[in-house]
Amino acid sequence: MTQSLKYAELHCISNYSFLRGASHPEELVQHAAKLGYEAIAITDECSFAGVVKAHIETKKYAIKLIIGSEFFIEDNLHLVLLAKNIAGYAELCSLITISRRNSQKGQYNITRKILHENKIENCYALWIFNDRSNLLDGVFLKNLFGNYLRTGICLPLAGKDKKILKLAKYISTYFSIPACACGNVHMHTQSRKPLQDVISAIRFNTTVAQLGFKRLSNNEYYLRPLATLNRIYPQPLLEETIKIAAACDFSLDEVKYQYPVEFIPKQYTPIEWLSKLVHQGMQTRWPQGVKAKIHADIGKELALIKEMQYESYFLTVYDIVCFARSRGILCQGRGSAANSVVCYCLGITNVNPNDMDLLFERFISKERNEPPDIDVDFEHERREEVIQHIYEKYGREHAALAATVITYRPKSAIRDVGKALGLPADQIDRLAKSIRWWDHKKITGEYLQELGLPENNLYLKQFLYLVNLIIHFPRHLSQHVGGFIISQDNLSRLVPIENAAMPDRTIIQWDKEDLEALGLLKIDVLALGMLTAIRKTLAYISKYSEYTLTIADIPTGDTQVYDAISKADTIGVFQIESRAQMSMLPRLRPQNYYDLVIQIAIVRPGPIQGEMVHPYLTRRKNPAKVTYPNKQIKKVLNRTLGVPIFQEQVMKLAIIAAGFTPGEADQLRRSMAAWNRKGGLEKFEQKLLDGMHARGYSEEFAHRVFKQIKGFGEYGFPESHSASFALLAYISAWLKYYHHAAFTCALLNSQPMGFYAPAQLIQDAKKHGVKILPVDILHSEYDCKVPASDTSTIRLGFRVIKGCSKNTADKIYAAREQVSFKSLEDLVNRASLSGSELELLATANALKPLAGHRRRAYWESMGIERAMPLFPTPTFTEGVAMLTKPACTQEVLADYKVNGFTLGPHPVSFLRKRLAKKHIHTASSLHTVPNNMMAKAAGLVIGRQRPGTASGVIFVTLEDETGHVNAIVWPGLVQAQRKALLKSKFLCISGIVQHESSVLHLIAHRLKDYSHWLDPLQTKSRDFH
Amino acid sequence: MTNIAPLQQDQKQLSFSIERKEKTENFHRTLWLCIYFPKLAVHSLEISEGQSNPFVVFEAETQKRTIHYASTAAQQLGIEAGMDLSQAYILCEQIRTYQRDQKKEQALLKLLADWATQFSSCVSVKYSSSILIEIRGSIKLFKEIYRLQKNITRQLQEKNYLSSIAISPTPLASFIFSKASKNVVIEDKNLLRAELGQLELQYFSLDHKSLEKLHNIGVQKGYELFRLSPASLARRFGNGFCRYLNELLGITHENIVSIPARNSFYDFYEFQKDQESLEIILMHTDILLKNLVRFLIQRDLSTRELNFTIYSSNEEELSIVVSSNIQCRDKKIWKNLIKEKFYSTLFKNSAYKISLHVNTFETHSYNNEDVLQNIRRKNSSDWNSTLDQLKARLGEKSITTLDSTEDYRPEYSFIKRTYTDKQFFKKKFLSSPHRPVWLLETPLRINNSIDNLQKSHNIERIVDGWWDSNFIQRDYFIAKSKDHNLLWIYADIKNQGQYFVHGYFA
Repeated sequence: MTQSLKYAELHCISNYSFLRGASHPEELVQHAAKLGYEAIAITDECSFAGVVKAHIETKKYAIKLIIGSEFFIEDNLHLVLLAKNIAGYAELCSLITISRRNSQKGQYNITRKILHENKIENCYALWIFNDRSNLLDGVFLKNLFGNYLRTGICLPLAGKDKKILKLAKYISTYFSIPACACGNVHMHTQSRKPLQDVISAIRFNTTVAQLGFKRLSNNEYYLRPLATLNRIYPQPLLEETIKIAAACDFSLDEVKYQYPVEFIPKQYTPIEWLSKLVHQGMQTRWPQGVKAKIHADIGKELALIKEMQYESYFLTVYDIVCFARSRGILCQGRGSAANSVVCYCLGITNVNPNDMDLLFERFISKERNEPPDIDVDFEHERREEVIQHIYEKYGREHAALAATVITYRPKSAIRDVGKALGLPADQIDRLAKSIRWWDHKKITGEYLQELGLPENNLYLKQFLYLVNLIIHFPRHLSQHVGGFIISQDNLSRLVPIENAAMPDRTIIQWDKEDLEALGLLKIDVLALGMLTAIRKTLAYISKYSEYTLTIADIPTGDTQVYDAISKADTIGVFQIESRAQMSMLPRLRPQNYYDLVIQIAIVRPGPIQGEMVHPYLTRRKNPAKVTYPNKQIKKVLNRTLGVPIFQEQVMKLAIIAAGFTPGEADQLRRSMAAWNRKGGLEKFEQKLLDGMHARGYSEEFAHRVFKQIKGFGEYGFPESHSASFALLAYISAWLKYYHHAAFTCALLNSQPMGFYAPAQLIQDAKKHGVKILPVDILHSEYDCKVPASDTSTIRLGFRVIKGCSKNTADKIYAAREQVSFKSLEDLVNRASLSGSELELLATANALKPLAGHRRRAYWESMGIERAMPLFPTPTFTEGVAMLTKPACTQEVLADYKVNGFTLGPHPVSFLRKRLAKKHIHTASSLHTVPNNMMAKAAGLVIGRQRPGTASGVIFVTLEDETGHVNAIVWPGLVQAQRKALLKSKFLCISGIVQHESSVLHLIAHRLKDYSHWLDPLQTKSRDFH
Repeated sequence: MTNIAPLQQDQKQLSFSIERKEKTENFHRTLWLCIYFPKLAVHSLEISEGQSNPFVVFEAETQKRTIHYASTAAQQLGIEAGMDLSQAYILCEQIRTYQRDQKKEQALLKLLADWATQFSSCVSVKYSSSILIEIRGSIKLFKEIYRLQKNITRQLQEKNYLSSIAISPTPLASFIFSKASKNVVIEDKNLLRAELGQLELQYFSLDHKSLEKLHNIGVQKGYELFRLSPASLARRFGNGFCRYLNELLGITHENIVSIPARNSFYDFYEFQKDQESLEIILMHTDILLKNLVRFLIQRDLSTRELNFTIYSSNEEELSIVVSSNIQCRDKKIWKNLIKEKFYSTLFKNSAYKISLHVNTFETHSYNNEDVLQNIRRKNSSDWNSTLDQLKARLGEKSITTLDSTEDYRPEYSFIKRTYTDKQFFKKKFLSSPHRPVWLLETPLRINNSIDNLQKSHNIERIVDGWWDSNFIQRDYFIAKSKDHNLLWIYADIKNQGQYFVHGYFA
């Protein structure tokens, strides 16, 4: 009996109807297929945010997906629209866009007038009917939708089903509107009801107990088994769903869009114009002439671009880069695009094909049949100019940012679920705050135990269950960092567009993964702080030098620079300044550009998990001893001494050693990326092993290669990406070495960026002999600057003072430009500073030239008499106040409070005698302790890291007046002394000293929190994954 | 202004200045004792400090929870007042927490202030967690300051209240000293400056902003503050700040308002012979009532509670409390209530005396609207009196009403509200049209087959209550029995579909 039953669910919301749906789109599709539904419509509320995920899932099953959306219109009118065809889909996209753009972010506004004005002629309309519906709405809707209108009858066993069926029959007879069954589905199984209640409570900002009738009365709003449906619904209503499903014949695979046809001169076709530009670029890049191989590569790439019809895409990216360059904005392509000679010639990327063995298939391949993804980094402070250029050039109807789906994480899940369940606020707070940024994605019972809460308490078990269920649930849409989608046609007919939080920003309802899945082209307009810093450095140098320095002028291969890098003198240097990088540098000792490329790539989870690091370092010491199975393998792995470090090498190995085609090799690469989450490498394993075996490679070699591939996982770096970054790493290292003051000044003026806080950058600069002058009301500007008179000096700017705005600085500068300030009154009156601005400058000790020490300056600034029209000169006179000058320690503490750093003695230096009595070493004297001996060190905690590959180990960086100490805390100690580790500002570590290649680590045995010794000091630690 | 007899001009001036001088001298001769209770929050919550487990009392201001008081055991773990509560949890996961209740603190402080009136008629609760007592006059009674101080300390120790006491010529200075646990005795105003100069500014009850500004200029102690010129301070911190310092040092007078003296009414009647007749006793309550009403009218007061005491030769005194929901001084109303109450009280023995004591009063409101105003009924005053009478006869807890709640579960869709509930008089609404008039408190299990019942197929499925351990999973429907009764029946899905009758429709 069940086999003959057929049903299509036409009204179903997923969790992309935020805080309403209690199931993922994939779960709904999967379950509907399992139940034997013919089709399922995902009809999220005024949204298509979840349809792509549902679409991908349906490909695994024999079930049809219908695209639709539900709307709640004024006066209690509830409508579901289902796209019949691509025209209907476009109509729905437009309708959703209009409704969303009509309202603030996250909301929509649709009226009958809007429905009326926007003709929907290619959609089925389901009037979701209940006993409170206004029958006259039938007349209105019938006029709009004609024969495509149905009443959607939901029978949730709420005691009114009979009445609803009776009304439906009446409407059918007298209004000629047929009825069809629909589930008003909110979840795929009944077991999700508690979660549905919880998210409703979150939505209404109340508790589950107090939701009252806003809760669903039962759990019937789920995907029901066919037999149940047959029992509840009259047969004609079920049959109608099949008819409608059959008539809806649209698939997202039909969504194709026309990339904007660039503004190409009339006499050229797009490919001709692209070729012309590429050849022009070729001349610029290689004025001495081009190698035959380059010519061949260019030809190959252009042919593929033409075949895949990507010319306009490249031209668009080229246009954006040209715009940036015309404005003097530094930019550089990164990622797989750096494998392209065409991109190099166009100036999009800067990786010279002569220096690298590029693999174009890593970027584009016919077999992959996916659009290219070009990421371009721009200076972070000027990226907005580029974004506005895109909007202006293409118009808001044709350009929009991709979305990012913000999902629940452990902390937010605990807070929202706890509140919904009515847990006491301080208990929720306690639970949430004790989650550390590295804590597992799933919260277990042990976690409750740690907090002293009863693990077996039913209530808490319920809480845990719901928290874990809601993690990864979408919460709302936000804008992607810089992923643009640009279309020739009206974008709102391709995908719905809605308002972002930022003014004048709009986003599409799909995220990056959705776009990739549908093959839509995206350009990533990204921001990179280091580009800003480099540009500023070059500008400062040019200002005080006799020449203008550009990136092109920077000589490559400077051995002194590489020596400095090898000594790990890299604070502030791009990509190689982290604790882990600085530990590796003295071991790897990069001596040329390619060494840097390897350095950047090797300190990553991929090579670490693949156990490539030690073999590489060992071979580096004795490169002559490295052997290869044959010349072909040598060609692939020679540059990395026989150890595969890059994704491209894995691909090449698969091609050369196992006979994969380039496209297959790229598929292998993609499977590697997703292997940890989804599996799927198995099908490649046998092919790889068989291929290598057929080509005469040993079993051992084949297995070793496959093991390394598995280890790569999703963390392996593309060589091209590392190469792009290595360029910037070298440039920044060169600038630091030869122009330390200008470089540090640029870093300070480009904050926030980088690994280190201004305090560490300043300390490092001082160690290199740079003189740092404090903020001075008579000399400083907003930005820090390098005086022309002394290029090894930095004058700190007002921007380093917390809370000091650019506006304040500009006022000071403008007034001072005319005549310098003579007194505080003069400053206040001419710069029109408010009391709070003046007090801020006083506490920052910037008023010293005018008012003496900071206490006096503060006192004076509090009592300033402003000039009035009738009383231009002060009328109040007072004697000198008896204020004590601050002691050195007090100055330092005040500096930290206002600036976060001090130019005075390091705070730890005040405690040195006390520390010495406890036999605690300085950072520098720790190097004198023999290997494997016990020692103690103490310092300010400036960083904590817990890399994902480190199995629970935490790396701590301490700072004292002599330098830094890198400590390793093993998981056992982390658990035992969690409080001291996580909360301490000033920490003492006892442990074993380990030296290796001039890199020192302290393996912690015991931690002691000495924060109270420095209580008023306000420092911040940078904590990373 | 004192009336001055016509005198010569210079004599007039002299007497005025004498009068003024006398006033000033009187002021200078005041002496203020301040008792500061550092653990008032703990005392008000009746927490026993003796427990070895650490505990804290926290304040909850909007979302922020900060520690107001940390027990000794908690302090040993590094927990301090002012700390965020979540930080305390990190230091001690098992810490017990109590939320501060300022209303209870105020009530306790008032009680203590009342207690303090035995030492002086001028008692003030102007400063938080402290009592100010003007003791210049009391010294004569107690012969000397130290004796008085000792007396107060002893009494407080007997009550187990932790306190610190300071005495000085100005109220503010006394408060500051006591808060800083400086148990000083300073009689001479000129010594104030030197003593206050040694204190940290944090005890000076300054606002946070001023304190921060003073710290920014390096002023940490009193003497550093006093070094700065008043005019400069006024300029920077405002005249209010200088006024504060002047009051602190006794340069100007600080206004102190004493707590009002308590009113109370007490009257009694002694019978010539022991009375057993309730009517006669009631007759005499009338007389007492009449006197009370006169007392209330004279003071423009009303009351809500009358405390009668019946004295018997052979038995303990019998206390009878007659109360009204509204403040009242209407003789007729009270008479009815008294009658109801007395009639419902069991008198075992004869009475020789009856007394009436009233000690809680309110200012009489002529436009007083009684709390029963929300009931839209005719003759609402009759209804109010009826309610009062019912309450007097049966007790407050016996009067309840039904109200509906937004809950799908039938047994939780109604709530009983007692007379004292604020929502007693809220407008009612029906939650669902398909609920029977008579809902059985305990559903009746149907052991026989239900085939004889005519069932409607309009099922109402209710699956709700998973969060509070009262989870139900039922299918409700209406059924008609053979004798045409409309039943509300459900199948308990959790209980293998067992049928129950839950109610009857009218």
